[in-house]
Amino acid sequence: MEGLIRNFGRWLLDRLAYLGQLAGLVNEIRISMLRGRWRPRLLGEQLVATGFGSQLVVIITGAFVGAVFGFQIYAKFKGYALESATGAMVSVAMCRELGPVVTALMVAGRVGSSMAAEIGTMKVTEQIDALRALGVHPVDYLVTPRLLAMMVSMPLLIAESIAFGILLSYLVVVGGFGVPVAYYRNHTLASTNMEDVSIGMIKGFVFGILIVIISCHQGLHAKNGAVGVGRSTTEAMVVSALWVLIVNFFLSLLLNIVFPYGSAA
Amino acid sequence: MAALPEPPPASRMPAPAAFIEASGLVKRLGGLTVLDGTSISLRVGETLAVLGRSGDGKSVLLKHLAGLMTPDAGSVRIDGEEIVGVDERRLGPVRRKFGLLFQNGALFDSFNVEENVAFPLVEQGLRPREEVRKRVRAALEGVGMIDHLLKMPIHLSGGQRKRVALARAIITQPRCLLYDEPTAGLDPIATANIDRLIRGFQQSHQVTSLVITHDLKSVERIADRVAFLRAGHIHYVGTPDAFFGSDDPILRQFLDGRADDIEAR
Repeated sequence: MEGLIRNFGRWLLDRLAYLGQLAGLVNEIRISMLRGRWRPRLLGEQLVATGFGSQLVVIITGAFVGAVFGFQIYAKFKGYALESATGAMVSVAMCRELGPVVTALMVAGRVGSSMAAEIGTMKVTEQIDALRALGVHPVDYLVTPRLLAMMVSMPLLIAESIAFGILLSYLVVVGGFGVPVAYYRNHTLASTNMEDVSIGMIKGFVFGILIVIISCHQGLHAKNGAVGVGRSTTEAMVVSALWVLIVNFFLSLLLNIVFPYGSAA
Repeated sequence: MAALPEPPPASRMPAPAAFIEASGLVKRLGGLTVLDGTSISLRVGETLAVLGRSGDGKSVLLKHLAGLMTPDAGSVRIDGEEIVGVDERRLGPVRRKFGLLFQNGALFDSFNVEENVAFPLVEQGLRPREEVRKRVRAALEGVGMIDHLLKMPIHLSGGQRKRVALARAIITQPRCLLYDEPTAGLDPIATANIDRLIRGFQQSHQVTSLVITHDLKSVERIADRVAFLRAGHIHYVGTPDAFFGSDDPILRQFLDGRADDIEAR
């Protein structure tokens, strides 16, 4: 029993220490944004790596999630002669939940793990110490440009994911199963409003910040050589994905207060 | 009682005799006391070689002197300025007073040779680009690496990497250079080349240097003084002649390369 309590206490202290480190990193980023030097070249490189480079993955994921969701809704709704409402369901779900969450999970896997691996390798090969020795703060140089690039890229990636999800769902349901175009389109447009789109964008913005902070933190605290970098990379992806899913729930509740269903109807 | 003379104005204050003054450094890492009240002084203009057995804390000492690690107790003054407990962002100007050569070079993987050497100048905001390029070429010429301008660090040998790292360390013409095992893993000729560069730069720029090394031939070639670190203490400080002629049993074992008496341990 005593051992159990001790282990729980150690686990709890580790979690608190982790949260403390994240808070410290957030504070450094704040200082960096207010006082640090802006590096447009680095920001441009990160925009290409994070935003431009993730497009194909995000488009394919969004498109097929929309398509399969559309198919399932159509199959169920057909029994109630509501198949023309499929577009409305797909559109709202893609905007509010599926688009932001699926995109964030893909970006956590593709970009977050890459950030942790790159920064972690720099850490274990003393390149971060070299930066510090040259009077350059690692957060200014490595974290802030990545965060800014993600804050710009993520809402755009989510918009692409949503658009292609709705488009492929439309092709499947209208083109494949013969639901009338006019009904499908009218229901979609009538049920989807700017609030739904705004929720998707806001979520994307928040998820992007989470992914960068968690992944860069993992990289900056990597140790024990290649094994440590591998562990940091995996942790970055897993922890980011978990945080995205947990924060998504609370963010959905919060945003539903700000933008309640039917408020714009 | 005679009145004390007025202190001279700050601008006329004599420069401190010691460029780096560390006293009472204590550092525990992973349950081991690596530095145990270590005190060391690096005089202006001298080259001090720090020797000691592997794992006796030489690199940890160097990182404390460079402000890259924070001691559990003790003080480090650089050019008269205390750096222990100072915020990382305020250390930038102090760190720019010295150059640091890491054991494995710590060149930035994503930059080629030219970009690596230009990095400190670019970060210090030197313009125009032509001036940066001229100084980079001069530095690389000085270390015999001008023909490798566009190579990536991964394509360089160990000796070449150290020469590029040396060019990066000296390009801002720092007042002090800290070398972490600059000749480790190099063949005798490459070692002699690095030693010649260190000595040459010391003589041409009157730079203050601290060299962590295991290489006794290097010590003969470059050192003005020798310090021997043992179990977290400075066990010996003196001239190279006195060091090599010492009959201290611990120094003799190191100098003669005699194995430990296993039974006695």
